[in-house]
Amino acid sequence: MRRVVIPAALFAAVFLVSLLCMPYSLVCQEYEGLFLATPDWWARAWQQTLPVSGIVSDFLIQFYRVPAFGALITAVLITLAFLLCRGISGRFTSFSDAVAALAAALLWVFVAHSSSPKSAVFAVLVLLVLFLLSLLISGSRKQRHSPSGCLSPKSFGTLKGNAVANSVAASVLFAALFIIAAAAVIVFSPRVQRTERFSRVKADAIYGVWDDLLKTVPPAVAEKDGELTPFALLALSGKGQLGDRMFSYPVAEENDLDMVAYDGKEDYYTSLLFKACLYQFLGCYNEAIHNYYQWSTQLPQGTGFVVLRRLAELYCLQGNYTLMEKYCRILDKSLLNGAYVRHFRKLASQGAAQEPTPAAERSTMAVISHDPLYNLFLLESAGFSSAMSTDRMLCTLILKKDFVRFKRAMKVLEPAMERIPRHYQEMMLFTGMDSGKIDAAVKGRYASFLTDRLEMTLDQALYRYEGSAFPYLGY
Amino acid sequence: MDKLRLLLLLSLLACNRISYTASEEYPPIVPDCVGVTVPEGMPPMTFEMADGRPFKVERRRVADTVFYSVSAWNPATGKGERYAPFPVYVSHDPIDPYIAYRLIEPSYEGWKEMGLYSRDLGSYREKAIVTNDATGGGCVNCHTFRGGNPSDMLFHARGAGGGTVFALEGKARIINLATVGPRKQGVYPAWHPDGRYIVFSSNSTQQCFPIAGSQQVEVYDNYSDLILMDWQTDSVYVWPPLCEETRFETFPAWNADGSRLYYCVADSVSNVVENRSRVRYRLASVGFADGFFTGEPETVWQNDTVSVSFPRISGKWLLFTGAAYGTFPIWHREADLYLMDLEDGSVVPASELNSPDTESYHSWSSNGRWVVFSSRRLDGRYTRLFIAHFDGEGRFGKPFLLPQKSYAHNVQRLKSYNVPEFVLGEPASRRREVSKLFAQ
Repeated sequence: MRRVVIPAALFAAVFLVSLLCMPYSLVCQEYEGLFLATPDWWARAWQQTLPVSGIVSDFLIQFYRVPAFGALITAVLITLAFLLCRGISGRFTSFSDAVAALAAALLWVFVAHSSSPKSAVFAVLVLLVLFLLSLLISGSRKQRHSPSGCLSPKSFGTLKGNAVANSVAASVLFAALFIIAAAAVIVFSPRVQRTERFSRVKADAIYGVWDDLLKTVPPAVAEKDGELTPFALLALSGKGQLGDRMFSYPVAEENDLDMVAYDGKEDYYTSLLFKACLYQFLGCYNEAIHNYYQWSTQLPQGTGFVVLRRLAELYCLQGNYTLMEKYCRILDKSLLNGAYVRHFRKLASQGAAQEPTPAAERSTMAVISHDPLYNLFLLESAGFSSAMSTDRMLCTLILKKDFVRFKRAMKVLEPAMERIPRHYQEMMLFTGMDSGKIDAAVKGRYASFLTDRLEMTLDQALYRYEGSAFPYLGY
Repeated sequence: MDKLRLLLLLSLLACNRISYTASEEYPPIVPDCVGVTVPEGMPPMTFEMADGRPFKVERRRVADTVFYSVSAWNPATGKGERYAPFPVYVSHDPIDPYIAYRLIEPSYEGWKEMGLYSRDLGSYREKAIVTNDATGGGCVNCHTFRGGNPSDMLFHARGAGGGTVFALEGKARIINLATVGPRKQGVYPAWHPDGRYIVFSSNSTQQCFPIAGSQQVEVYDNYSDLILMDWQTDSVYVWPPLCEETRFETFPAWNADGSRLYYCVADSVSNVVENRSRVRYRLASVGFADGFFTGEPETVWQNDTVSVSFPRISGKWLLFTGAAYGTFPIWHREADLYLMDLEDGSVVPASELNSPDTESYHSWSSNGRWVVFSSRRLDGRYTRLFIAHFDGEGRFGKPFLLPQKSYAHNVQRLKSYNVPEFVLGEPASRRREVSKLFAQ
């Protein structure tokens, strides 16, 4: 019974913890992974360190797009490791369950903290070899000690008696403890939680699932993990609520909105993905493609499934069906992207192909800069104007405390606004603009803020005027 | 699924149960191999039907022409279709047995993996000369072989501890040109035919990214000069007329006997990005003798609508890339190759080589009878290599795509080919030497 119960419990624990606590971590492994039946992919795969485990794990990662499959594969790998380890240690000790559970638990914790099942695959392969070796060794020993090649269970029981039964029970108990401990370590690990949260944010940002993103990154979470703030603000932009809710997040500088300070720094990787998502939803596909390419160079294999899918989609949206088809054909060399490929091809069959831009027009085409505000102005003037770009532009001016340009922009934009978002109203009051569309409540709070500012510290103002632009603008 | 269809088709064809309609047209295939000229010993052309249908191909050689007969299933008629056999002409002009090139993701500023590779033209075999794992991930670029000799090469290896790697006469060493002489970085090299001198351009290269339109990257120089290196003494010299502040000098190339240096030059402009349409390079040259430039630089060719880059000379023929403006034609869809007769100064578009998409870097074979050039005609983004025959009289044959085991390889490869150069033999791997140089 115990031979089944412990592995079953381990399997169930790994499956449930993986599925419930780290589904997006698994999904993102598929996003950033790659397995293609192409000559270049195989050539590269054989050149990596530990190529067999690498290839097997790259193959398995394809299935991680469905978190249940990812959890299942992880559970199978860890349970296999347990069974093999028990098979090996059982030849040397009656504590085999405990030893195997300890090894499997450590492996599980390690795998949960890494971003690939490669270590689990490697461990299973090594244990398999050791298990086969142990079979060979014990086989030859048995032949030496017993002419029949069998050890009598009866004599074994007589020799060891109750001591064996006790040690087996202790072993089972320890095994259960190890599994519970590993599960607890993973569930409560800040690193696992952070990876899961960030993976969820990435997945939501790539596909524009704004409500879920905001649920994942409420202001309290952003307070602790500043890197997530720009993504939360991107979600607010996507929902058209940036002008109302930006200061409900811990915004202290322009970088919290656009990640510009991360360019070329350690977190380059994140800011590239952020910019890819930002420009994608701003409709500036050239810049989105630029940043997806750049982001992909940071991925373990130089590109990943999600990049190939996004490039196919973005080129499709641009009307560049030749390149879209290229990426479709590459995705077709994987196992599970057929539905995407059919979807893109269907879109292409319904669209109109882009005409190449003439040289004269290209030579004067405005170019993207490293200044997000400049880029937003550019988008406005180059026909990419949208509520999202306008919102971000005005919020950037607020964050820059650029009263002059904000006033100038609002003079143009305000007449067309049915309702002025809250932070614009607050900035307008600071610039001395007046409008019938400014709420009386906002005006009242502004008046009290002017009084309070004389005797309040910034922290006090932030507390009293939580969610308002006043403390940011007034200090 | 395609394989299943192909198997089905082949089995039906084998049983002769398919009735054929004979077509007088050539098959609609990609890449276009109809009527191309190939060297003797080149692997067979590989292609596929443009619409992806499975097909069967038979080859038959008649004298110096190989006829490819293609049969394919036509779902519209429900019958097999046998297309007119198309010719591939075989030239007896020998071709250098190897080409060397760089493979890199066409990915703007960053990269993951890149490397210099050689390809045996008699087979499909590709081998790495050096990849950037030997340089700590830094860029490797601008390789060139002294007189096409595979043992003597140089290339740049960027990054910490980087510089120009000279693998010459069995010894590899690295020199950071920016730390010697005039302290200018070396970029595009041109090896003098006598093997002692190398002219490098020294460019401050930047990129910008148009907000819309089909061109997604523009690469430009903020300044560029030419410098001369004597690799026997490791000295680097500048000659003021080739380092004018008011001009961008770049893309050096020697004529056959090394008596003249050809290069591209443009008047400098302020704010290059905004004024990029005004940066138009012309072809210039200057004399050279005994390690010194002689005479005054003179303009060889200029045109108000063509910006010249990559002049490459074989005998009296100079092949260059012409774009509407700027210095980096690979991102210019209008970029084409042009052929200049240095004896009479005439310039004509190399129409046989050009396509509606980009043609850019090119290189002559050692006997001047073949040209390898890069083009983006397949998909507009990933550069692929094409080879064309040259008859020595100013006429090119129809170019063919560098053959792979299957055409699909060109589609599936996620890297671009850069700087194709012919080589007279197989270049050795430089990985270990370069790793050692970087470890020091």
